[in-house]
Amino acid sequence: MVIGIPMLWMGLFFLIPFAVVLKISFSEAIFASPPYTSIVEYISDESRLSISLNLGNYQYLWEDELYWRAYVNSLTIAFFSTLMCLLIGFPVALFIARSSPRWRPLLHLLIIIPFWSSLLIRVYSWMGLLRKDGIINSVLGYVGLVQDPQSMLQTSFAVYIGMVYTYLPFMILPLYSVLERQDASLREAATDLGSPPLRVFRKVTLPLSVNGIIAGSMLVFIPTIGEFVIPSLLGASDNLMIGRVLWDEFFANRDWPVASAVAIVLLAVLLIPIMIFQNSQNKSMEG
Amino acid sequence: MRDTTDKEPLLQIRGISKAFGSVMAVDNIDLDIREGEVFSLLGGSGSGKSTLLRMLAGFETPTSGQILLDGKDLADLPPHKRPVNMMFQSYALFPHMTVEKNVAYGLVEDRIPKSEIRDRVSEILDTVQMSEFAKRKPDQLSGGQRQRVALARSLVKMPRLLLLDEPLGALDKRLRESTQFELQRIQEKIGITFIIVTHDQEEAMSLSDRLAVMNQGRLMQIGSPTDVYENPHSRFVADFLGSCNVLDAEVTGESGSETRLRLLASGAETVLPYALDHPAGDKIQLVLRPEKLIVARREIDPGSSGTILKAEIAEIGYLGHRSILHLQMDDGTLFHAHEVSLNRRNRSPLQAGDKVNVTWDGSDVAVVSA
Repeated sequence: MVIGIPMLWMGLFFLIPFAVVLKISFSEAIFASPPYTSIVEYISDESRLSISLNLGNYQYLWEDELYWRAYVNSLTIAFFSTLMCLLIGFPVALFIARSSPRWRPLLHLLIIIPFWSSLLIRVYSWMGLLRKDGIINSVLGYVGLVQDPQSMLQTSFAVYIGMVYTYLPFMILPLYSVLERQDASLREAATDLGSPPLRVFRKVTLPLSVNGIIAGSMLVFIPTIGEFVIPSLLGASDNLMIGRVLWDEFFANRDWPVASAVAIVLLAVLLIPIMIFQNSQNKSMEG
Repeated sequence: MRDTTDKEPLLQIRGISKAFGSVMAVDNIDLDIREGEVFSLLGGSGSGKSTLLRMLAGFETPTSGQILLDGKDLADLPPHKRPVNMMFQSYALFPHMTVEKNVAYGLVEDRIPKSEIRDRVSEILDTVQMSEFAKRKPDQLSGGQRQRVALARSLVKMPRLLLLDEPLGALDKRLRESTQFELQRIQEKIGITFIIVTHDQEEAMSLSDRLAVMNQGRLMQIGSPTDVYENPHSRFVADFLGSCNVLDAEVTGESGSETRLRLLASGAETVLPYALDHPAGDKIQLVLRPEKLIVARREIDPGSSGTILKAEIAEIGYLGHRSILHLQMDDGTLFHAHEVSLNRRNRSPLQAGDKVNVTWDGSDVAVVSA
């Protein structure tokens, strides 16, 4: 019963939709509604149930360089965004975890506050900041640092800013929760046994934060890889990410089978490394 | 008890104080610890004993005063450079390292050659009888085993001074007793000076050569366990080290090496076999440990106190090795006495409701100021 409800939830909102998308990815696009063929057909003269799996969509993805580039591009952007979130998020999480208990709830709140406004509004604000005549350029020009202001929009720089800004809290919160739970006497013990402060960090604090680092990195990496809004609004059109490709296939081309194949491949790219990782984790726990 | 009196003090604490805001956690303490000694700081929570220990380790900075180890001021040394190690109350074992790695930690930090580390770790694990668990992680050990690993880890660097924060506090009662002797055996073998912080008077008394009772940031009394138990200087110390009967008394006179007193509750006369520097008329308090009282139904000779008090046994608490008698004295006060269970076939043991005579030996009485 206890695991029944989450299982039901998973079934209803993950497995069934997943099966539907998987099914569509094996069909062919037609001009109809719904815009794809059925893969299961009952041929009554021969009393045969015929299931035809069309692998053409996957072959198409494999052969067309556009999709490759979009996948690699998405992975690269997601990887570096995650790395930057980690490098910025760790010191912030550490600072909050080590600040006095009186201030912690307030600092915690400051991390969460951006979620109270819509993502779109936040991204549009960044557009305002990064424009050629935006606030950043105006200030830089006024100070005299920049004579010939350039728009920072439609660049990878803008995409990274948007990604890191949006997903940083997802990195900070799990890191904060592991750091906050760390027993201070462990650090004292390390100090007592002869470790100067930086060594205490490297030999005690950091290894004991690994779970938080993994959780935070996944919480950032997974949504950034499929992110659609941020690259569309801040990025350059020649710098395609896979979320944009997916959107175009669904809504512009109305090619649901190819769009489904794109989604299935993306899921495989994300899930397979996670499953391998979890498997090795379980093994090391037993060993 | 070893004789350590002729040695120079290893640790000299000079007028040390620590204030947290307006609270004096440690209030102007002077203390000398001799080399090779097992010294206990005994006190309740908030007595300042842990703060004092943390100042020795370097985790707290004294507000004022000086700590000298081997004559050198420790203030100049950050905690990671002090030749002092600590065994933490929670043990603070690193959960991501094996027993072996935990114990080796301090030696690795000191950049000691690998082969020497291996030898020293296996030797100390042998001493605490944990060799077979070297590859385990701390969460695969029992509480008693973790305690041994923590001890090994703090001893392996051979510190000049080992600080133990409630070393037996997290163990259950049965394990405590055996570990207590184990700790003594290891200390005698290795010879490192121990400073133990504890709130448990039995632990302090059985482990230490000397102990200090702390209260509200001050040292109330320092001495050997026997000395502090038998001759408490204050009501607080008397109460802290076991139960006691406290009798209000007035000095009535002195003759040579005797002091005559009148007990205020009953008006009975009593004698102490030593002189007090209290003039006649002074009010004092007498402390009588429960095991010093002689209780019997029959007529008894008064002890050297010359006092016999009448009482009725209100209740008996049977503890196996002894019984605790709750005595309702005829003068209205309540006494506690211990009766040792000597003989299983004792035909007529004391029973609740018995009328009894109570006496004691004058030399068993300790005097504290009223």
